[in-house]
Amino acid sequence: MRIKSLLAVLAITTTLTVPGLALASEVTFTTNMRSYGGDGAYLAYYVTDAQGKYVGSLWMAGGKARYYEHLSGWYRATGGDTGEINGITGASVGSGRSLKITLDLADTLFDAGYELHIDSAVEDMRDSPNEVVVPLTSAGSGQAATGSRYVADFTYTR
Amino acid sequence: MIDRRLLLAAVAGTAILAAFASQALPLDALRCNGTRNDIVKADYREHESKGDRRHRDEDGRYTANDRGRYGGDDDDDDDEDEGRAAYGDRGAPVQQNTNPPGNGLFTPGSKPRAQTN
Repeated sequence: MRIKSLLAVLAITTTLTVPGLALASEVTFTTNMRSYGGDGAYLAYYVTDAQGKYVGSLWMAGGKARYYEHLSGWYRATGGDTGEINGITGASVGSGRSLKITLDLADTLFDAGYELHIDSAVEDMRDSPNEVVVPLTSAGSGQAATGSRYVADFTYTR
Repeated sequence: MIDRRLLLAAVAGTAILAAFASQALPLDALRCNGTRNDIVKADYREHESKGDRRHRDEDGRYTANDRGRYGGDDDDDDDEDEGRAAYGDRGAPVQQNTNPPGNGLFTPGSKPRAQTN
């Protein structure tokens, strides 16, 4: 009787856990910066849906909220709400350096019309909203996208 | 019967410890005013000097920390770094954050990691 109960519990927990594992995958974002010769860049990574509507943020490189208004695409979408980036904020990225971010993302983000945007800003230099915009697709994994100002190239792999 | 006594003893002990713990104060708070005024913490002076420096650049004009332009706060106590270094390239080797926001993009319970090279 006891073994039967244990088996039932095991079956239920397995049933609940396996779909979660199957619907998520580890995704790595690699961003290489150009040697633009300025201070460290603030970078906002966020996702929009097929209609261009903001869905959520994935990472914020740069910790001071007062500079976020210079990441104008992200700022317009979120109103500068720092709650959007709680737990996903890191340091700004210096000229010529690279940032590698590893995230466990829902598989539903891929091949469903979602786009990843990167806004960038550097002190005393021009802001660069939508520095990188790439569709999130399985085929796009490992393909480098070129940035328009401060980002040399960006790649995601899953 | 013994189990009940043991349980009661454990509950009483925990209650006493919790009561003491709730009274815990930082050592600074226990010092009297006279003593506290005599002590100037090293990091306080350091903060002052950094605060002076961060508003000027080589030309003497205000930099990005100018409140008028950027609307920032004067108090950097809760910030990760100072002055121009906010935009600077002080990348930590590995940053592990806590829990990401529940925006439906992340796997619940996952921990994002970032590395700057």
